[in-house]
Amino acid sequence: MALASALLEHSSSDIDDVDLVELYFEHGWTDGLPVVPPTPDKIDAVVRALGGDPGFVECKVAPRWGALTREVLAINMVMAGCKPDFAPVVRAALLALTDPPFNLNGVQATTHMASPLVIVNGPIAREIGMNGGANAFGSGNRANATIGRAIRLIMLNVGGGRAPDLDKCTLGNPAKYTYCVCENEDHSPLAPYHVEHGYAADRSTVFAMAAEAPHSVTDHQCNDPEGILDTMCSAMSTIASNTAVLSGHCAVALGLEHARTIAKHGWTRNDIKSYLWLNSGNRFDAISRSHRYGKVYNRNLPKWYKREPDSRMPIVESADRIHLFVVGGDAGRFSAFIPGWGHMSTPVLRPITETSTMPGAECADGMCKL
Amino acid sequence: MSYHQRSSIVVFDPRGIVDSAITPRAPRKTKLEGLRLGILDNSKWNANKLLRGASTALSKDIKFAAVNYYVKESFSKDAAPELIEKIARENDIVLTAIGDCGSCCSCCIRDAIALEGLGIPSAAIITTEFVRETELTRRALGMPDLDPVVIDHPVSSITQEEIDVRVRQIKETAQRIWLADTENEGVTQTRTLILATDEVN
Repeated sequence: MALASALLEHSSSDIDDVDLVELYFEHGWTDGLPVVPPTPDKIDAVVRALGGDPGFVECKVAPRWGALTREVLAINMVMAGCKPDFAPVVRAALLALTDPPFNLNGVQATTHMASPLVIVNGPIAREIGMNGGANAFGSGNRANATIGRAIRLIMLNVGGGRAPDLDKCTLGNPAKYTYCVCENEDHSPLAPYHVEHGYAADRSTVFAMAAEAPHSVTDHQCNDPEGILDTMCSAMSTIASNTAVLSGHCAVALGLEHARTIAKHGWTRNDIKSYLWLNSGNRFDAISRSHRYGKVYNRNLPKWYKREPDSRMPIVESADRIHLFVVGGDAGRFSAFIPGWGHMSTPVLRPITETSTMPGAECADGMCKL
Repeated sequence: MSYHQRSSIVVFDPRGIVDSAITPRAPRKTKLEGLRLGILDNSKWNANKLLRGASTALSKDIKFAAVNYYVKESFSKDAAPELIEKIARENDIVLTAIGDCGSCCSCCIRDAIALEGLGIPSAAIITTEFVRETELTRRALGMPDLDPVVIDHPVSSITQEEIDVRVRQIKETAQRIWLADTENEGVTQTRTLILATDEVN
């Protein structure tokens, strides 16, 4: 195949001394961890899994607007340690991130610690060995770890989102190395997320949301939906999150034990989300700090929220903006709340297909001309 | 782009190419008297105080034909294309603020570049913390010569007195950005060439 991507020269005398892992570090092309040095064979295998045509531009990645050809996608996937059969997931995730409503430019540049959270649904998660069970957000699973890592490497290398230049993040967040899981569909008592959103159970999808890291929600006491969800509401109702002051979207990762208790009482996904929406949020007095620093209106919250001191400011605009997933292992009465970045980014759900469904290279990500 | 193989060593560049065509800025104005000034507020905290202050200060010295005020939907998103077109139709020069965070800075610059592309000299106000980001964004978007108005960081939690200091900074620099500056043309040209070589590797 015609490889298009570059190149370094090394004099023949020092060939044996060249440490490729160090070389990728020296060029500033890693995420801070060693990468797998790409070889033509490995790149070729990934390009084939993407449908061939190495020069095909899948999308352009903000804020550098580098062209993500299949070859460049493959190079970054190999560097991340991905297997070729992860390719459709990584591609779908990048197409989701570069969908204009996601506002990748803003997500990359923001001082907030948001990172794209990618959650996979459908049979492909099982086929490629993803983990939605015990320690799903943690270490140890190759597919979760390296798909998330490939996405981040592409954001760094092709998108140019490196700190402190184009990534202005104040603190960062460990989820900026990798942040990819699947829903635990095999053990969940609820319908899968993508089925709730109109996909057949045998289709596979990626969901992407600009998100903070998961915040633990512990509840070992309550044995009914209201009790468990009230605990979740407590985690959702801080005034410290971007979600509280900038609205937008958030996600809830319901642990299996909590999900089973709730489902035993006959609650559906809609019941859960509606209860969470109705019983979380902050008083306007708390958001405005009682106007101690000047009169506050907060244009970033929906205009239809009443702004009296005792008015309840919902944490997001509607129950549908709480994205509910069942994740985690069999044991443990834990769930997680995942605040979003704010109204500036809209989560994207898209199907994982064998080949790109986008038009040609010129308008690959819908941004024909900047 | 090409790859190079020598014995067994091949190194692959993971960055992908950037189509770095340089777009010129809009033609600069020779005078500001009688022009229509458009103000684009990105809805970030204190952007309105800065912009209204700057507009008042500028209007003391310059008799604008009109001063039009616009607010975009979200500080972390580009202004809607319809809004950009409306602003370009209704104004001769534009002042926009405030780029005091990663995403809002980037989007302010992108709005300014979109307006420049429609022929409107545009001054985007950013803070000192974001000078480097702005430079890279302008390069990535092919308009490295569009200098921003740089004011002291921070903006979102400052007093009226501190706002007044920044308004004075805006007043002076914005005029320089809108007006023709023949002295700078040579410098600009050299920089463009260097950046173009750097980016096309």
